[in-house]
Amino acid sequence: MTALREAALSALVALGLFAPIVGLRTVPGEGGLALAPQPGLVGVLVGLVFFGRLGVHLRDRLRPAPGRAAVRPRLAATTARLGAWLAPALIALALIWPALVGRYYVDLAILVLTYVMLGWGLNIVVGLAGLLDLGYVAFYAVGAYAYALIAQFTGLGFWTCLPMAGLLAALWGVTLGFPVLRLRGDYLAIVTLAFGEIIRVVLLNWVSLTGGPNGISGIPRPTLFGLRFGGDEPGSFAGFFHLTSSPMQRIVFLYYVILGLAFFTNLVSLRLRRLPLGRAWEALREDEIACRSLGINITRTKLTAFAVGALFGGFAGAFFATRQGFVSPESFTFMESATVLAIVVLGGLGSQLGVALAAIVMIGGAELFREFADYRMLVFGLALVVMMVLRPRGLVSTRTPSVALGTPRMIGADMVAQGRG
Amino acid sequence: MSDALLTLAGVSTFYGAVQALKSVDLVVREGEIVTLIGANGAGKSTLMMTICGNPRARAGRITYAGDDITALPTHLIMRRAIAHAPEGRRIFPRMTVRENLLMGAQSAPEAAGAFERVLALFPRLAERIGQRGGTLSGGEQQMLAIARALMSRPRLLLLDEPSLGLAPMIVRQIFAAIRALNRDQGLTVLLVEQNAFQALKLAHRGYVLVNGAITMEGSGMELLRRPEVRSAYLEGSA
Repeated sequence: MTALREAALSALVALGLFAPIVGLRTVPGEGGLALAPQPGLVGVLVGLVFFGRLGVHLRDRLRPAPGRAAVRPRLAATTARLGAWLAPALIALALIWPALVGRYYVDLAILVLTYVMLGWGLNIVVGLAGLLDLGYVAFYAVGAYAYALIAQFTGLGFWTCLPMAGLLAALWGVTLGFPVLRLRGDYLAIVTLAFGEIIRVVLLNWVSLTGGPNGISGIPRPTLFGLRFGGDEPGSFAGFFHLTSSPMQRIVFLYYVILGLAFFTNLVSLRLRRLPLGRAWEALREDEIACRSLGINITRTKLTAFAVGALFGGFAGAFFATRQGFVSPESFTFMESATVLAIVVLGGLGSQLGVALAAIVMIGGAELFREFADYRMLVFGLALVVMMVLRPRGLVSTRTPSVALGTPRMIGADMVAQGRG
Repeated sequence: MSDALLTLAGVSTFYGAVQALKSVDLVVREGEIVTLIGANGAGKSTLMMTICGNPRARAGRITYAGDDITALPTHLIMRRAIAHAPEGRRIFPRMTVRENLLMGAQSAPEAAGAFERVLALFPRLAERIGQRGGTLSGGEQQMLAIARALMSRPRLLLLDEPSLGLAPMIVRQIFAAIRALNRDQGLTVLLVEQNAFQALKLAHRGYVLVNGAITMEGSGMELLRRPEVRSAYLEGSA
């Protein structure tokens, strides 16, 4: 009886949700858009929820509670074991990817890798140091505009500007870090959110420097040791190697550039985690007061986390600018920060592999299912809910100890008290 | 007893407009165990935190090993061979025991052999070395908190309520470890405790803190015999 009542209640909630979202469809009509009702589709969805809830109830009835609890650690152990070969397999696949697929998928992979890199960069701030940053897009924007402007005013190439863009972003990271040193949790999140918006609004309104909403175009493309892509005259890539010029060469080159940058980000994060500085970041996430008691310089630890995170955001931004050849403030809205943060959280805070997987699922998935763009937010929300129920600590929720004797013993997140750290 | 290692002279601390410590004078001599007892909210933990420079003393002077440390930033104070095991243990739950201990050595990298020393003191931790801090029992976590503080080879150990929430047997073990550290390695200890009876028995000297001011001081045994102390802190626990 309770099962029926609960199922009916769930169906009612579903009706309330789906009726406006799915039930009404805008169609071009006379003098503008008209609404066309779709009662059939709503009925199907509500029915699915009703019987789905009933099914969950039945499953719980058939399998007693202790059995369910025992499944969880096994699931965690399986993902841990999967990780052992999944990471090398992913790396191998990434290396030969352009040889396997066509232009569209290489382009898509470039986009995914940009977000993997952003995710890894933000992971340092949020996942390792535990500082909730909702304005990460600001550093992405600083990197992109830094490259665009330096290239425009000095004529320097991508490889010279890349470190400058990164350093500028890191400088802004420190600039943001100073006023928020004393803030934690929600308060920190709000200030970082505002910071992200400030950068965007400044870019939008400083027309004389940034071109305002028109953005900056004609940003130079990267070169391979001075060889340009496009055209086959001497001095270009195709001309030097006596190949016929094709746009694919540039795309594959861009792919390997972002792959290299992403690997570099990963390598640096992994190395830093093993250094005292990286351990101090993690300790800071776990307990700030304990950190103080142990003589850790909180100021320096927080600022370096912001700076290093921003550095990689800046690199990714410079790459974005050179790939697009055009930047405008529109590319750096809060939605970008939210997406990157969602990738980090979904991937499991602090897990490198998890972030990569989450970026593939979120960015790759969203692009592949572009036809269903109407339902994208619906699916996204559903995915988040399912994740929170099944894996509340993200896809890869185990944390490898940074130092261990012999084989590190992994303990799944489900064995550690929730809500700590 | 030899020279004063830590001296507080007329120290006052405020939280905003609220005065938490009222001109506190306190001396800890080299090689002593000094305990500070008092009711909840008397300012015991505030006194500990003030020594660490967080919050900073608004008036008075704190001297450690002959140097004025009143205005030093917290992390520099903690690098002067002072170790603080804060109230509520505050170990790093998602880090392993080994990582927790290494965090303690962070500010004193020259502390070679510290690892073996603390593991010899708390053999239980050696058994749990690869386990996550959050999965330890309360007593083990307290041992870890003390061991972590000892990793920097301190001269002075500030211990804030090590008996908090622990079974009497575990408390006795921990107090025995403190006594051994003091006797065998000459470690100076400032101990804040609610568990006044055991703390006064362990300590060479003690102070009683009431509403942010020191009201009594004397040797541990002396304070134990004082009727005011007995009625306020020891009723029923002896």
